[in-house]
Amino acid sequence: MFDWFDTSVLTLFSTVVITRFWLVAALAALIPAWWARRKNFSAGLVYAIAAGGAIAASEIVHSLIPGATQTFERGETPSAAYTIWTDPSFRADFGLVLILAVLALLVMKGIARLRQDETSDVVSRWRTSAVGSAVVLALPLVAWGWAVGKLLFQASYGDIVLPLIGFAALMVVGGVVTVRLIGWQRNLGLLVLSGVVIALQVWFNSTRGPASMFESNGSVPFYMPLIPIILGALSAPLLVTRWRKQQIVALGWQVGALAWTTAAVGWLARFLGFYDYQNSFAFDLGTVLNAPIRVLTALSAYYYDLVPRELADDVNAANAGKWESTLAVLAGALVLLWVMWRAAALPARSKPRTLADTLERVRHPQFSLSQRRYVLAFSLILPALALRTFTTFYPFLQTVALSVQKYNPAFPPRQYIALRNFEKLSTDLVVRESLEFTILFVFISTFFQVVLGLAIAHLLNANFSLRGFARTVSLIPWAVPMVVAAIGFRWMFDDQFGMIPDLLRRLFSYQGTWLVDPEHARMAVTFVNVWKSTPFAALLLLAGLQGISEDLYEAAKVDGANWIDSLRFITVPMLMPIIVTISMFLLVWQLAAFDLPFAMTGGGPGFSTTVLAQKIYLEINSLNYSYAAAVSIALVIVVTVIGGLGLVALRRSEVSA
Amino acid sequence: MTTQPLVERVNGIGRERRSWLERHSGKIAVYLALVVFVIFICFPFYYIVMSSITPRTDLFNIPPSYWPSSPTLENYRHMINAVPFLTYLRNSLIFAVGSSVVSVIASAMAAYALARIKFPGSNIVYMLLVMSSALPQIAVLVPMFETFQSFSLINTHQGLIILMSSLLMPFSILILVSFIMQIPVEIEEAALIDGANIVQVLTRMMVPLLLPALSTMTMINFIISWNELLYPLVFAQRDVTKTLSVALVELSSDASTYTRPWDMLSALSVFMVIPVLLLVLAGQRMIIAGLSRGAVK
Repeated sequence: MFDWFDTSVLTLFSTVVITRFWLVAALAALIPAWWARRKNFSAGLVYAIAAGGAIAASEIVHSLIPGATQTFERGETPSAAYTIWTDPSFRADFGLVLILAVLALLVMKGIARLRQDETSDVVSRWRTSAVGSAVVLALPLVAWGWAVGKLLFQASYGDIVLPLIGFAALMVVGGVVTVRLIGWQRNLGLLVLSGVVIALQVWFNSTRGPASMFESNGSVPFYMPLIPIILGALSAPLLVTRWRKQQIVALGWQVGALAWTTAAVGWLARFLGFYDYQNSFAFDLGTVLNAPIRVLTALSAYYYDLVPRELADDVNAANAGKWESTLAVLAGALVLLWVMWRAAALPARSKPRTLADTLERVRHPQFSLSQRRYVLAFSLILPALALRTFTTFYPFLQTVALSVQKYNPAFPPRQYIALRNFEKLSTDLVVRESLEFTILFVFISTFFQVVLGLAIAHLLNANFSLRGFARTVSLIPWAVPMVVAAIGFRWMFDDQFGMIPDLLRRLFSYQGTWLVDPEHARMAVTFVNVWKSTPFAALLLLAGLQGISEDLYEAAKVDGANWIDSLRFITVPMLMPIIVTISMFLLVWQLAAFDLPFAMTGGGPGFSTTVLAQKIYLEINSLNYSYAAAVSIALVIVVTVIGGLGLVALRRSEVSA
Repeated sequence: MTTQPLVERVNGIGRERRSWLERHSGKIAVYLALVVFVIFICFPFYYIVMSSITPRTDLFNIPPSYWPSSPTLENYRHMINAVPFLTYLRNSLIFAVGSSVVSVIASAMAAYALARIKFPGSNIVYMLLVMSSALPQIAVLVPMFETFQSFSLINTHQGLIILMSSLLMPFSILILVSFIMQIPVEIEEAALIDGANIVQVLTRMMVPLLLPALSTMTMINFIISWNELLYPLVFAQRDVTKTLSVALVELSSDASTYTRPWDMLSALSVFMVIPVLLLVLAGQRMIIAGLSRGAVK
């Protein structure tokens, strides 16, 4: 029934995760740039080190991920995580992605140096720009080399020589024409050129079947990366002699961006076509860009492992052709490029930071005034925030995660089962009964607590000599342990030996059986709750009553109002914000109440006085952890709805007051 | 006398003519209401205390007796022998004192920062901290239990204090922020201009100024944690950390009315009520002021 949930999660996953990958990559690209800037190191070196670290990290991650190193018995299906992480071509792709990232970052750095290099002479500028352009262009070249290396032993070149020559000629002519254009026309020209190439290629492929191992129907061939390379080769000399630095940079960027765009479009073409990765050897930048997808697949393999396998396969197949995924990849690539560009282009610090300098700053911190304020505020809040996070925010997220799993410590395998817990919950009669009772209990209690509390508050506000004593007395029920009250009243409500049934029998000859009959038990529990919290509500309302000026009542009296009138037209409207606040507080607080029914009736008779919190406790005790989590989520939803309504009411009452 | 205006004299005559009952009807109504109120509030305590000094056999009289016919302290002796009472009492005290002190210190620090230092996101942090009290504590019990298992904090006083002080924190922060907002900021500014650093301002000025508020919150938090049931029930599974509230629940877990040790239960209940009662008597004015600040703010 809840397959739709998994389907939509997987669909979202393919888009969201890809986007997230690119965003993370963009953020990660900032770190080497920042570090290099701090240390006045060569950014390129730092990037290289970072990439090496990333590769090493991938190996470590691989060895650490439990699913990737699992051993399994004959006939057992390996998990998706294992399958993907142990696939050599995947790991090759992973390395490729990392190398490309390093190259891209190096390019950024080169261009940044080019931009800063205002004073250098033409020759050095030429050198720098040539290096920059070359590195930009090396991106697809490396990919291409990689592909050739892969294909060398598998391909027969005969089928592709002719189209290769034809396309190369097209590139040369188109490139020469295009680089002579200026400004937006050049951009347009490059785009049109690449569009023409792609259209031609698709048409070329569609006229025949996948003739060789190099192609699959609709795919873009591996020589696609040659387009920007040829363009760059043509443009490099021209750039130096003809244009100023800014234009060189601009063109370098356009070329680089074009390379990536072409590759992305090629990838899109493959994606929309009938592309089967396992059986296709065609290798181009589309494949390169596909590598991140495969990396992501590996990362998301854990989710797939959780989802029933048939479902995951179906959704994977369905998602393979989704244009949203493609868009996400394109957008992510653009974001990454932009970030790397901006990061590398940051001006270096004027003064290199030495170790001694750093140590000096650590010993004698010289923060600005606002920095000091933030540090102070942060360090003051940190203990409270850390405690709350550790005991509330983070465990709550875990509860949410637990609610879509099947987890019982007595029956170990922890499984993802989507919304099946909630499905069970919606048909659970005990949950329904306890939900009904919880809401009834909370609303009736709160109503009596506030109404009686208002009356008691008037009493406590009256002017008489024992007022202090009365206020002390009214604090007692709040201060007394709920357990004591519950157990005491349990005894007092006892049918045979209890005082309350006895008194009722004697005074009103009422023969109710209090804790045996469900309705009476519910009334008894509610009564105890009212007893416990009414004086507390009264004390809070008293504070509000004291805030109302006596003059108002005097004036009303002069106008001939009786006490009902002054209650209706003065007290209640003036107290409205407090009444709403208290009601909301009592509602939310009592929704989570656990100890009263637990200690007084144990939820019985039957489940008639079981509140939701106690139902959760019961489920935890019988080790149904995940089901308990699902009931908890239901409880939190109820609390949120009621609390939200309370906040709305509070805002209203404050506006009208 | 002779200079009194006529109107007042006439009124005075009228007042004297009203009967005593009429003149005091308001007062009588108030005192009547007070008596009803006090009986309504106190009767359960009377009943518990009475049961605790009634011999076990007399507790099962039908109809129940309302007066201790043969008072005895046998129940207390019985109870202290039956449960490790002193250990539980010590645990309860450690738990309540520890939680209240930790929560008040951490909340006071956070409240000062939230009330005084404006930084981006301070409102969000404040709302997050205060609103999180609406999250039922039972909803995070399972993950909390597993986390505590991996940190081996179950059956430790530290673990219980961590949980409880975190639970107390939202309300404490709410109250303390409103207290700190009341103190004029000029005092601190003057001290800073005079060359005090921020630590001096905090320890030499804010702490003395806030002392009433801090002690109020400590009292309130002590009472709340003394009464707490759920956390000790779940996270204290051995005698070394079990609190009195857990002992009470365990004693009453017997399902049958006849075998439930009501004599011991009532004696234990009396012990549990005494500390909070003393605190309430000693600090009722402060506690009421502290509690109502949250509502009226």
